[in-house]
Formats: sequence, structure tokens, C-alpha cells
Amino acid sequence: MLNFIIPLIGRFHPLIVHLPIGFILMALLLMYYPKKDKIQFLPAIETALLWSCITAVLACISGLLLYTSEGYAFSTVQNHLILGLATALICLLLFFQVKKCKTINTPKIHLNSALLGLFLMLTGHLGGSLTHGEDYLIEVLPEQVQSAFGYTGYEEFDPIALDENHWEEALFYEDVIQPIFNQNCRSCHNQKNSKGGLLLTSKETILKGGKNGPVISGSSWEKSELHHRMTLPLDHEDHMPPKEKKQPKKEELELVKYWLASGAPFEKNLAMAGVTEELVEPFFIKSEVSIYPKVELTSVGTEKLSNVRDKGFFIEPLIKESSLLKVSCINFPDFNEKDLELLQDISQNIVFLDLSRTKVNDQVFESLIDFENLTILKLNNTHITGTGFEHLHKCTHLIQLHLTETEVNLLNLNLLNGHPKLKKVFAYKTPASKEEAHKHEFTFEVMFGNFELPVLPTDSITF
Amino acid sequence: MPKRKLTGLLTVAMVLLVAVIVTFNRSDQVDFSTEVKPILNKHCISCHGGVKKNGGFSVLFEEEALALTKSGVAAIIPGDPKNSELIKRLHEEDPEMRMPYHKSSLTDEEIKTLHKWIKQGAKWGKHWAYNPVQKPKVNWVSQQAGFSDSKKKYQGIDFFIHEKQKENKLSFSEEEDSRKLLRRVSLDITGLPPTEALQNDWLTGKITYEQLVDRLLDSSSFGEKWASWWLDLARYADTKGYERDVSRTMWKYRDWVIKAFNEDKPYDEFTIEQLAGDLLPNPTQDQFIATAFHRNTMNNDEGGTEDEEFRVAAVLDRVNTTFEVWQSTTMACVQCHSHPYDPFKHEEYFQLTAFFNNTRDEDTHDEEPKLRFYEEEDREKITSVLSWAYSNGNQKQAEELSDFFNFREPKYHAHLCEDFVNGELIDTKWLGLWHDGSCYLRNVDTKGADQMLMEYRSGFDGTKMTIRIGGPEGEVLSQFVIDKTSIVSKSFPFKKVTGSVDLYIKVENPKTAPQQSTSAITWFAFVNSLSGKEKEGYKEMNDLFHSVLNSKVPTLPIMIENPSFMQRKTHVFERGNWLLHGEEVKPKTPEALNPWNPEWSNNRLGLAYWLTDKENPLTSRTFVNRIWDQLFGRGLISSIEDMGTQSEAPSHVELLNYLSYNFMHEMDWSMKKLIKTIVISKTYRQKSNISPVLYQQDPQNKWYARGPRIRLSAEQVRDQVLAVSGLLSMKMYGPGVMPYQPDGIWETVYNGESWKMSEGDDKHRRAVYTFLKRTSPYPSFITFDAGSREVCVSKRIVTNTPLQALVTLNDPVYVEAAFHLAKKMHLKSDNPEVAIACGFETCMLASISSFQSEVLTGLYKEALTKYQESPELLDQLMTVNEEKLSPKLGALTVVANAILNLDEFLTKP
Amino acid sequence: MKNIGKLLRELEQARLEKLTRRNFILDCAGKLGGLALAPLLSSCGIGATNTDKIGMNLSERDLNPLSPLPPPFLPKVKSVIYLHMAGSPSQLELFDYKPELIKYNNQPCPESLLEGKKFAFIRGVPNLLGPQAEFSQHGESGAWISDYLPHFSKLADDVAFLKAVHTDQFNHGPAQLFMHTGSPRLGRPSLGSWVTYGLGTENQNLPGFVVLTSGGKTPDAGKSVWGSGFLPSVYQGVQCRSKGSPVLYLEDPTGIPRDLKKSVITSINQINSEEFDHYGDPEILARINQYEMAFRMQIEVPEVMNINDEPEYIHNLYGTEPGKESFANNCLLARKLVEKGVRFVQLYDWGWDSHGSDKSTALDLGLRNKCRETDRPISALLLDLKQRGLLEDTLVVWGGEFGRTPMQENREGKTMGYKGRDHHVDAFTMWMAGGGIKKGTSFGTTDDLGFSGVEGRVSVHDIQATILHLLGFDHEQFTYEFQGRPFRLTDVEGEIIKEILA
Repeated sequence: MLNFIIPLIGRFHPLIVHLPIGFILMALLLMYYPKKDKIQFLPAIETALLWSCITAVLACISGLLLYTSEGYAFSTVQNHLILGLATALICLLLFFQVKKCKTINTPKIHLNSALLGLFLMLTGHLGGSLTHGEDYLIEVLPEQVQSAFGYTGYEEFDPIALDENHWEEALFYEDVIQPIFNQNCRSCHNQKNSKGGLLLTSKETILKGGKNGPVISGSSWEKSELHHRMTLPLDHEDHMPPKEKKQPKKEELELVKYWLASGAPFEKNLAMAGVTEELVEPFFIKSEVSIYPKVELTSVGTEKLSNVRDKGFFIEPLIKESSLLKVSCINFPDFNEKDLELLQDISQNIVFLDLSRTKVNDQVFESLIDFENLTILKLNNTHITGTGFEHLHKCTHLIQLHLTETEVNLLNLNLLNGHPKLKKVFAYKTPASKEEAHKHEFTFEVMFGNFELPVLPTDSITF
Repeated sequence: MPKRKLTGLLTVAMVLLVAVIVTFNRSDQVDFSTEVKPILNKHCISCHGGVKKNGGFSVLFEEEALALTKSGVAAIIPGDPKNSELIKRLHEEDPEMRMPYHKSSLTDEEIKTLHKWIKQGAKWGKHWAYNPVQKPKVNWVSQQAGFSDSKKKYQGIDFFIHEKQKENKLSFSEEEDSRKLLRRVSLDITGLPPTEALQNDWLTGKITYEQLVDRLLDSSSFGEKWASWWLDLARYADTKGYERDVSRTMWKYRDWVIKAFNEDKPYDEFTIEQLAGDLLPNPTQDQFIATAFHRNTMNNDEGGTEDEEFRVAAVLDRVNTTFEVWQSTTMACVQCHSHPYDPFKHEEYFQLTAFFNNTRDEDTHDEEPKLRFYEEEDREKITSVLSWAYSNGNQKQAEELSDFFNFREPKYHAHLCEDFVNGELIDTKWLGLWHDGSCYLRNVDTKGADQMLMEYRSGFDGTKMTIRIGGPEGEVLSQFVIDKTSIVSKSFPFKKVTGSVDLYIKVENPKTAPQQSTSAITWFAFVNSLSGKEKEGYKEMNDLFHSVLNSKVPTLPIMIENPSFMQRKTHVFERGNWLLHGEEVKPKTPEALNPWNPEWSNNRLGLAYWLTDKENPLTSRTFVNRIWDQLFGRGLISSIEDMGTQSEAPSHVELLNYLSYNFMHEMDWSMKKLIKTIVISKTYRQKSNISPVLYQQDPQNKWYARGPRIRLSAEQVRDQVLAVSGLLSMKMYGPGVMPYQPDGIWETVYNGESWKMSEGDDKHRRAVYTFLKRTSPYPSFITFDAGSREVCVSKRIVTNTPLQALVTLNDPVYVEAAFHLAKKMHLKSDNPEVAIACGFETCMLASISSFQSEVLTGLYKEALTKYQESPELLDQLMTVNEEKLSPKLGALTVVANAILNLDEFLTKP
Repeated sequence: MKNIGKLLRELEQARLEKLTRRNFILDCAGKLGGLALAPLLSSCGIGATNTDKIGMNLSERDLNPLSPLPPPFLPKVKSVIYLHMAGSPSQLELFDYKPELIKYNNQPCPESLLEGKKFAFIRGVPNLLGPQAEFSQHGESGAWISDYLPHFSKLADDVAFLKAVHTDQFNHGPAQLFMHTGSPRLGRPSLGSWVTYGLGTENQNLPGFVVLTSGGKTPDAGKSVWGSGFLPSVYQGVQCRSKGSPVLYLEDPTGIPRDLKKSVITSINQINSEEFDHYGDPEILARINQYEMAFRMQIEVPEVMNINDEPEYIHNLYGTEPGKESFANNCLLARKLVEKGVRFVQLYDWGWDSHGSDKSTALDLGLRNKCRETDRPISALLLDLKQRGLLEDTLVVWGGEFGRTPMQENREGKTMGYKGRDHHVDAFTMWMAGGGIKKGTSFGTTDDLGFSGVEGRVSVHDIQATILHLLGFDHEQFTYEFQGRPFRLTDVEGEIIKEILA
């Protein structure tokens, strides 16, 4: 029931400690100031020292209680604790010496009092940083002074980003290796928090290594602690970064390995270091993540969507919460180009339109011109012949056009030539595919299909 | 001076006072299990729990949570949130430091709760479900001033429901229309629409609602309805499962369940007999049958599979099933690591396993041990043999014999043989030694028997078999010749040896081709021969013995405990891998649950007593919750399969506790009483209509402000259709039947069996009797969400799919039913409208509305004209049935088909 | 006080709306009597999205659990065709060329390899067995493919090979479950179920997940291989049979003609919608939906499943023979189904378990026949998808549940009559083709004996993760709450195989 007493007393430690501090300072003061005939202070000094001892002991006890009841790790408090105890002991020693010799002018006493003073300061400081935090004092200092002490606030770092076309010029260390360190190692190896005395923040610090010596071996990369630690099995306690931290990608590891292998160059660029494309390929900022246009559009309300749906269209966003739409008539066989009007006011948003197996005819292309973001258009198994293809040039984003099993002929197909974006046209089972297509040149790839598989003797052998 | 003392004292007193006030005057304590644990489970436990202990920190158990972590600091410092790493890390901004690691941070609310909890000393609470069920102290006076009908006094269930309703500004709906109510309660209790007689008695007010309920509970259909629910939990099926999935005879267990429900076997007995009937003092045949519960585990006959692996699989399944069925606890996860959320430790799982790890079954092809059901004639033989054994030998001998007659144990299976020379385990099943072949059968204890029994078959005459002790040079224990025979059990004289020995088995038969098995041996057993050889009539006795031994009788796989000399050791499986043995463990029940009573024997029987002990917090709660779920389509704790800390906050804890307590103490575990208590409540009898507003407030009917309205189960759908059309056969029990099923459904590897449609009545038996093949169950049941019974299923997810429509519209069974219903309608009246009205009424127990009649008569007319125009259609329609149809009857059949597809018909009103 | 007032107002409002809507239904019901059964619900204004008007904000899913949902990430493909060779073909006779193995033919297998390994049938120390087929390189990618697959080898540059796949189950049942549900134990949803649950189906007249089997047997693990586990059973695979009615009970009862059937369903739905007015239970709306879809399925499914009317050149291409159950027919059907917007098509072909216990399972006889039966259809499928532009947004996956040993099987220590290989978990080959796949690549290599992967090893979960990725899911975030915890297909593992992604 009263188990709160212990922690409570413990909590008084920060208060109690000030008593010994006071008394000890008092005692030292009396001992060394004023200069002349201190002997008359002797009783006072003795009393001061006596109380110093008593209170110091109290401080120690309360301190120990605090330590046990608040789950501090020994490692964190050990210095403060040891010094604290030491202080108390020295204090005691001094008291008896003074009591015995009835003077204060023996070298022993001088030494002890000096020690006492020193320990008191240290213990006090350590205690302070325990309660107020390591950087309690530094925090208030101006930035420059701080960084002189090696303290910097938390900062975001960008991952590696290489330009697909000019990656060779990128600097191996600055643009690749350092970002890897920033992403994976920096949070524990920076000035503020340099675990194992290792800083992975600059050429100098990297070359300097940690308290267990350098991390980069000049001779060979296998020997380099840096690489070795990162490639140890995850469960190995020396593995870096620690198991529970974010682990570097294998591509990143490869690059570090290659960097070390090529003698850890700090100035070379990737080309000079002889880095091959596939090594860095994963880090290219993909110039185009998706074939669909990157446009900012107001997304269409669910009410509108459901109305379109009720008409029989299949319609949904391309991706969750995307303003780009995918529309198909898969459940709407009776669709004809007039129904397209239902989509006019959202034509901007539609990037995928599938009108296959519907009743559309060539009129459709005219109505399609407002669909400026249309990227994929499917008209398979319809009666379109392709007259009016020229309108599709207005759909400047059109990349794929599916015309399988339609009436499209070569002549009309030519209308599409010179389309800005158009990449692929599928024209299997069309009049076009039957005609001599090969003669024709297109500004896009055309799939006429008509694949066949030869009849082989083995097809009919049963073993 | 005294003055100073006084002031001193005063100050000290003051300090103490303040301290005391500070410590004890803590308002609104945070509740661990309801407020804190959910947060920990949601955000922390996936990395700091049973599976992973990142940074050496885990919030699974108190001691782990408060212990020093890798960093050397305890993450939780009771009373000191500010310095608790746990709290600090929530506030961090460095993404490498901030927790949850690389996930969205906690809400301020959550952080505040944790903060407060630690401030208040980080007290670890026990989840409510793990505290024993206490006698609820309630005075049936409304707790709060409700805004509506607070004058009414409710008792029991209704009281608790009503209290919650008021909190949510809801109130009871009025009572359901009497005929609909009749249909509801009848379908719920018997799985069938009420009989004519019952309808009359009820509607004429001859019987009260309570009497009605009693009548239903007394009908034998009750057992059949509730059995199909229990059989889902028992994973009962008529085949073994896995690749080959051949048939097994299990139906005697199914019948046992039906009877148990009908005779209202108290739930504790019901439990004990199924888990450990074989261990009860001189068990009855029925008690043996009950133990088949845990022989419903799958049995793998696939060639190349190691029996031990699948024996272990079966044992683990028994642990998991036992805990899912009786404790609503998912033990499966504890198999590989401590439970991620609930207070069950890795080793505790295997301590439980130890309870189940000592049964004789070994995933053998023949599924031994099996209980044998002898015919009268055989039973006479047995009695005479036993009495001989008793009079000439001793009691013990006689008992051993009788056990051996009953379930052929103990015996050594061929798959125990090892170190083959010129020999193999045929298809990893039978011992097959070739000419000059040998193998070892190790650690055999013959109990000094003078006779060896062996089951085998052989295609050759004159195979000499020699059995030596220890090895090729060992002393000969038995030597005999095997001749060509179909499967047979024979006895051979055997030299007495004591203690555990290794047998070296050697055969010679130069006549056989190389690599050709001389015989296929299933098992060896060591049973003393009958004594009194010198006596008159010994030979006859011995022959009787053998004839019984080889008489082909119906059997049922059951549980039999290992005799002392066959005991298995149980080990922890590292990471759940059965090949990696950890330390050995002894049977023990989990710490978190009720204490163990030393008087209980430390085996399955003890476990059963422990489960049914009134101190067990979960058994009764689980059962009540399941029954409630059956009746309301939603448990008081909605996650039926899991009552642990992860389960969503229960809507009505007090009600659950109240019922659970009464179920044990007042109702003495009577299942019928429990069901009755629930169905006579006002809560159950409400109308099930949903107003939009009501739906808004309570879409899942969590607060029971309306009656339950659920689509009928697969079994109910079929049974009801057969009932209303008058086709249903009321025949009970017996082997599984095979109603109509399209061809080509059964396609299993290496399995000659096929679906043969049952004759006569058996086509129209209740669903619970339908033959269930695990790898392809009866299609229309599957379509209506029934399971394949491979593992324990505690809740069927009710779905609503087009395939269901196809079944009830087109499945010949339903067309046939429609036709017979049409005939009934036709007899009622010549006037189509009247006939249709009658048909509708028989099905729905509700009079047809003008609109419904309008639509259906419309349909009738259309169909009639159609059939008058083209009568040939009728003949095709006839092919489903025997008789010739008139256009009218044809048209009525179409209408009936429509009626049988109405939502109202497929749904419990 | 205020409360009650509000309550009453809402009630009244709802009542009025229901009245108007009811009449609405009645007159469309009238309409519907005759003309084609257009989506009753939507056209009559009680479609999913409008129900919130009557005071219940129901999602599309409440009314139709198969209604489509957009994927969370940009998908590369919208449908999958999974060709599962049940029994597991021998990678060493098809794709994983091991000249070394020829040298060691009939040498006892190095003990070191066998240490701590378990096999289904192999006992003691078996002999190594050299490849039984002739290998040669094909296409610009120079992929090694054996002469067992003359047609497929022409398509080497269209597919991406995974040469070092590994699993941890060496019996068929568990291994197949593991491959398709991510767990060797029963009770988990299959890949196809996850996908249909996540994306629904675009074609409202066809199931979203169709299963086609050939080889005369269903897979060893039974129907749970396409089961929905703890997901609602509406997401389980619908097995379409090539004999009898493609989907069970799809055909109208004899004697009830189509038009009459239509009126039956119309009447049912009319009465059901009136019942909804009475009970207000959304489940009823769902049921109305399902009856409509059932009716539409009855038209659509037989149409898709009928290959009789396919033109000659198609039959020549695939080598299909209408009317008989064959893998070729299933390949053609797979194409037609995907064309119609079916999300996931799963093909099982039984009979690849080449133990060498008899002729049909001999590496040089039975296996060759299986290859012949499937070589043309698979190649045809790829070409046909390609020429129709379907390969752009369809993923094709080929594989077994595990591989086969470099050692010849010695069943229970017995030398076998025919050349066969036992089940092998450490390394086997699978391939993928289609949208988002890097054409003509080969990832992963095995040691000289083809015993285990030396680099580019991928696990079953990696493959599942990759398939989900291509469909627009993050396999780690795609979860379902069950027994109080989120479950996912790839359990706690799985890494996307970037190396084969375009």
C-alpha cells in the first residue's frame, strides 16, 4: 500500500543533493578563505564537514532509491552514481582527517579537499545532465557555437535521384554514397549522435572511422568494416543497420560494395568510376511513371459517377482517389455514339475508354475530340471503318488504339500517321491486316497478328 | 523546545498528508484491458509482441513490458510517463526514432490514454473474458432515466437489452405477428416449418408461447437442426480429406450428436464424453462413440506422406479445435510463437498438446483404433470366449481380450518398421519384405505374451518368416510360414520375452521375383493365447476367438489412450516446425485461465473436467455466445471464433455473464433450457422490420431494437423446401445418403468412389444426413455457405450470390419440389388465385397480399397460355417427375418455383 | 425532446420517399414484364448509390459484393491467367539446362546435398539423372528450352523465366495450397479470391474468378485451392466445366423456356422489391441484384463457354476439339473469358507427377505427351492474347507446385522401371508473360546439378507479392480482418521480384 514511499523519497534526491553541495562548498570556503589564521574556523569547518557527510550520505541513499525505482539503466547513471559515492567517501575521509589533525594544513588534506571539490563539480554536472538532458546547456548557445560542440538539429535527406539520361556525370560519393548513408546510417552516425564514434557525414569523418579504427580498408573492400557490418546476417549482433532499423536495399549495398571496390573515390563521377547502368538503374527518377497524362483535374463526384453507371456504363477511377477515369461499355452492348454525350462533361477525366462490342460507328471519332486526355481507346469487334480517324489527332495523349476485328482498312489507318503520341495500334482481323501491310510505313507500331503455329511431326507422335 | 517539536511534527504530517493525497486521490483510473490493451494491440504488438520483440521490447506480458530493453532502459517506467521511452518515442520527430516505426503516429487521444495509464502506475489488467463468471448482482430496476417507456419493468435478457437500448436512444419493436413468430421459432429450433397440428394449436390459442417452445424442443427434429451446427465445429465429414479423400464410416458419431441434443445431455457431460469418453470408468459404447469427435481430424492416405507428420498435424488440430470450440481462442498462432495478442505462451501450447499426444491413432491407412460393432452372433461368441478366459485364466487376461475385441489395441503398426534390407514400406503404408528381406521393429514390449497376432495379406504361398530378438544373430522368438491369403488376422506362437526389445524380422521365399513383396503386413499385436490348452473344448474356443477376430463388422474410429509402455514424449516445436524438437513438456493448462484441481487425472479426462469446471471463464461464455449467434445471426461478441483481447468490444457483457452464470448454475448446463430462455424473451419476439432511421442508427442490429432477420442456412433451405412440398422423409440416423447431384462433380485423384443416388425416401432425407465428401461437398450446400468440414468452423459467413439463385431456380431437386407443391395447391382449389394463395400461405405462414397475388396470378396466366400453346413443353417438364401434367398443373409448377425463390421464403422472418 | 421531433421528421420523410419509389418500382415492373430484363434496380432508381436517399447509405458492395473497386495503385494488368501444371513438371527436362548433370548421370548423389533433406519417396542415396531432353538456345534472349516444347520455344523472347523458385512443401496437397493460398494449411483464401475481393468484376454477367480443370482430375488439394477461405464465399472460384452445363444448375429446367423464366425472375423481383418496402432490409436489394445477375449469367456464360462457333483458324491455332475436356479448349476459353473482362482465370492441368512409376509418369514418355498436349495451346494462347492486344493488360503465369529432383527416383529404395524424378522443393522454374513483365528475361540460376538456387532465389510468397503488385496492390497493405487480426496472402513474407518487371 505504502510502496509509493520508496519512489517518493527517491524523487527527493534532486532536492537533497543540494544540501551536501551547499555544506561542502561552505566547508571548502571556510578552509581556503580568508587566507589568514583559519584555525579559528576549525570548529565551524568540522561542523560543516560533518553535515556535508550526513547530507551526502542521505543524497546517496535517495539517489540509489531513485535509480532502482525509476528503471534507469546502470550504464546511464554509473558515472554520476560512482562519483557521488566517491564524493561522500572523500567527504567522510576529510572530516576525520581534519578532526584528527586539528589542522588543515597537511598536504593530504589539501589533496583531498581538492579532489572533493572536483568530484563535487563532476557529480553535480552529470546529475544535471541526467535530469535536464545532455544538451541542456548547449541548447541555449547560438547555432555556430552549437555545431562547434557537434550538435545539429534533425534534418531531412533526399534519397538518391539520378537522371536517366545524364547519370554518368553524377558524383559517385556526393550523389550516391552519401545519400545512401544519409538514408540508412545517418540517424545514428551524425555529430549529435555518433554511435561507436563513427560519423558518416563527410569525407573526413568517414576516412577517420570509428573508435574501433577505420571502416574503410585501403587494401580490399572485403576487409572494409563498413561493408562487412552491412552484409553480416541480419541476426548477427554486429549487423548494421541494427535489425530493427530500416535496412538498405540490396541495390544500395551493391553500390557501396562497388564504391569500396573501386577504392572509395570521393571526387570521381559515376562514369569515371566505371559504374554500369544496371547498377544505378533502380535509382533513376522515372521520367514517366505511368502512360497516363499527369494532369490536375477536379475529380468527379460519386453522384455523377452513379448516374453514368445507372445508364449502363462501367465507370471507376483509374486508381483509388484519382481524378482520372476508366470507362467501359462491357455491360452496355446497346451503346451507340449518341450515348457518348452522357460523358461529355467528364470527357477531360476519361483516360481509358473501351467501346468494344457496341453499336458505335465512325461518327464516334468526331465526338471523341474533347477527350483530350484519352490514352487508351478500345473499339474491338465494332463496325467502325476508320473514316474520321483524323479527329483522333486531337486526342493528343492517345497512346494505344485497339481495332481488333473491325472494318478498318489500310487507307484509313494511314490517317493516323503522324499522330503525336500514338504508339501501338492493334488491327488484327481487319481488312487492313489482310492487305499487303508491310509495304506501308507507320509512325506507330501496328499489330496485324495473323499468327500461326506450324504443324510439326512431333505434334502427332504419342510416346 | 516542545513548541519546536510540535511545528516539526506538523510539517512532517503536512508532507505525508500531501504525499498521500497526491498518490491516492487519482480520479478516473484508465482501464487496461478496455482502453490501453486495444491501443497496444493496434499499434505496437506487431513489432513488440509475441512474434517480434524489436529492441528487446514486448508489450505482450507485464514482465516483458516493464523489463529493461536492449537500450538498457525500461520503456515503461510506472508513474513516470515523461521519462518512459514508450511515450517519448511517440513524440519523436526523427522518423527513424518515432514509433510506430515508419507508420502514421498515434492520435493525441491514444497518446494521452497511454500517458495517463503509465502515470497511474502502468497496472496490467486481466481481460474480462479471462476472469471467472461471477454471480451477477442486478436488481431489475432500470438503471437510468430513459427517455422512453422507462416505466416498464424488464427481467433477465430483456432488462439488459433494454438498458443498452436506452443508452442508444432506442427501444423494443412490437411483437412479431403470431404466424411469422411461429415460423421463426420453429425454423430456429427444429430447422423446419411448423407441423399443421402445431400451427392449429398455436393459432387457435390452445397453447401458450412457452408451451409452443416446449413442443418444438421436444420434437426429434430439434436434434437434427442443432447437430448440423455442432458438426461444423466437430469438422464432421464422411471422408478422410487430403489428396485421396476416401470414405470413412463416421455416421455413428453424427447420430450420437443428434441423440445427445434430443435427450438434452448437459453440456458438461456432452463435453467430457466427446473429449475423454474412453477414459471414464468402464465406459459405455456410447461414451466410446462420443470420442470420435476428435477422430474427425483428416487422415492422409497420399503415397509418400509420412504418417507421423500427419499424426502430429491431427494432434495439433485437436488442440486448436478444442480451444476454438470450448474457449473461443485461436491457439493456432501459439504453435509457432507466443500468442500475438492473448496471454498464452509458446510452451503452453505444447503443454496442451501433451494432453492429446498420447492416443493410439497414428494416421494409418486403416484409421485404427476403431470401435467394432458386433452382431448378436459374434457377441455370443465373445461372451463365451471371455468367460473361458476368465475361468481358465484370470480377470486381467479376460479384460485385455475384451478390449482387443472392442478396439484391437494395443498393437504395433507396420509403419514403425525401419532399416529395410530388400524390403519397403509399400506406398508408405504396409510392410513389404522381398525374398531374403529383413527389417527392424524397435522398442516393442510384448508384455510377455506367448502369442503374436498379425494382420496381413499375401499373394504367395510358403513365405518363411522368422522373428529374432535384437538382430540377425538374436534368438528366434517366432518362426512360421505365410501362405497366399486375402487380408486376415492370424495368431502365431511367440516366445515370452519381457521388457522393451527390438524385433528383427526376416522373410525368405525364393519363389518370388526380385523386388517383389512376399506379403503386405498391416500390424503386429501381442496378446496372450487362451489358457487351459489341456482342457476339453479349447480348440473350439480358439477357433471362436479367431472367427471373431476376422469377422467383418461395422467400425468407428475412436480415441484410445496409449498404455504406459507406449507413452509418447511431447516436445516444444521450435518455430512450430514438428521436426525441430525443443525441451520436453508435460500436460498443463494455461496460466491465464482457471486453476488446475490436483484431484483431476493429468490426461484428457482431467482436461475435460478443467474445461467444464465452473471456474473456467470461457466455456460457458463461449457456448452462450454461440447459441445467441445461432438465434440472432450475431454473437453478443460478434467475433464468434475469438473471445480474446482482439475481439471487438462486446455489446452486452453483463448479459453474456448473466446468461453464462445461469447456464452453469441455474440451468445445470441444459442446452434446451438455455435456448428456451432466449427464444421466450421479448428481445427475440420482436418484429424484424427495419425503418431507414433504425437502419441508420444500428445497421447490424447490435442493440436488438428489432427481431433477427437472416437468410436460412444451407440445411434449412433444403429441408424447408422438401417440407412444404411434402417430400421430406422424417427417417432418422444411419449412413450418409446421396440425393440428386449432377454428374462429374466427384473428381478426386486415385479414388474409385462415385456418387450413387440413393433409392426411394433416402433421396429426400434431411440435409444433416447428406453424405459429405470433403474435397467436393454437396454443391448446393456449398453455394449456400456450408463448409467443407476440413477444419473446425465456428461461424459461416452468410453471402448472397447469383449461384444461390441458380440453385433454387434450376436444381432439379427444387423443380421437383415445386411440382409437388403445385400438386398440393392444385388439390386445394381449381381457382388459380385461391390455389396460389394457399401455396403462398403454406410457404410463408402469411396470407398473400393483393400485390403478390396480382403478380403471381399474372405469372400463372402467362405460363398457362404458354403451355396451352405448346404442350410439348409439359412433357419435358414431366421428365423431372413421373406423372403427366396438365397445362394448369404446369403453370402452377412455374408459380410454385417462383414462390420457392421469394426472399421471404429463403429468410427467417 | 428535440430528439423525438427529429426522429419523427425523418420517419415521415422516409415514408414519403418510399411511397414514391414504390410506385416507381411498380410501373417499371410493369414495363419489365415484356422487354428485356435491364438492370431493374439501377433503372428504377433504387440502385446502390440511390439508396442513401431512402436513409441508408449503402455502398455498392452492400448490394453487390462483386461490384468493381479501383485498385490502390496504378495496375499494370487487369486480369490474370494462371496455368497450373498440377503434379509439377520437371524443370530439368524443360527449362533448367544442366549439362553437368549429363556427366554425373547415374552417379550417386553427393551425401552433402541430401543432408537434412526429406523427400516424398526417395530413400537412401539415389543416383543423379541427366536431362532426358535435348536443349538449345532460343530467341535473342538465348533462353535454353528443351525440344519437348518446340512451339513455346519460339516465344522465348515474350516471357520472363524464374529459374530459382523454391517452396517448403514436398507433398502435392500442401504445396498447391501454399502456392495458391500462401499457406500449406487449409482455410486461407486463394490468390484469385483475394483479387476478386479486392477488385470485384467488371463484367456484371460473369463470375470474377473462373476455374477450368483438365487432365481428368481436380488438383490434389481439392477445391480449397480456389476456395475463399475466411473471405465470403462469393469470392471463391467458380468452376466452369467443359462437359455438362458449364456452371452448375445454369440451364433452365427442361420445360420452362427462356421467356417464361424471364417472367419468373421478374415476378420474384417485383415481389421482393415490395418486400423491401415492408422490411427495409438491404439484403433484399442484394438478392434482387443476384437474381438479375443469375439471369444474365444464364445467357452470357454458355455463350462464352461455347467454342463450337470459333473460326477454323482459331481451332488450328490452339488445336482445340469442341466437346471434349482438354487443356487446349481451356486455353481458348481462358482467352475468351479474359476478353469478356473476367478478372482471374485459373487453369489446372493434372498429370505432371513424373515419378517414373509407370509409362504415363516417365520423363521420356508420359512427360513428353503432357508437353505435347500443352505446348501448342499455351503458345497459341500467348500469340492470340498478343495479336488481340490483350497481353497488354493480362498477366500469364505458368508453373507447378514444386520442382523435381536432379536424382532419379528410387521409390522406397527400389529401382524403378521407368525414368522418373521425385518431388523437389529447393529449385524449380516458373515463367510469367504479359503486362508489366520484362520480356525475354531470365532471373535466378541454380547450381551445376540444378539442386538448389545459387542466385536470384524467389519464394512462393515473392511470386504472389509480384502478381498482386502487377494488379495494383501492395501485398503488405492488402489485408482482411479475421479472428481479430489482419491476414494477408503473403503472410509475413514476400518481396516483389523487380528483376522481371518492365
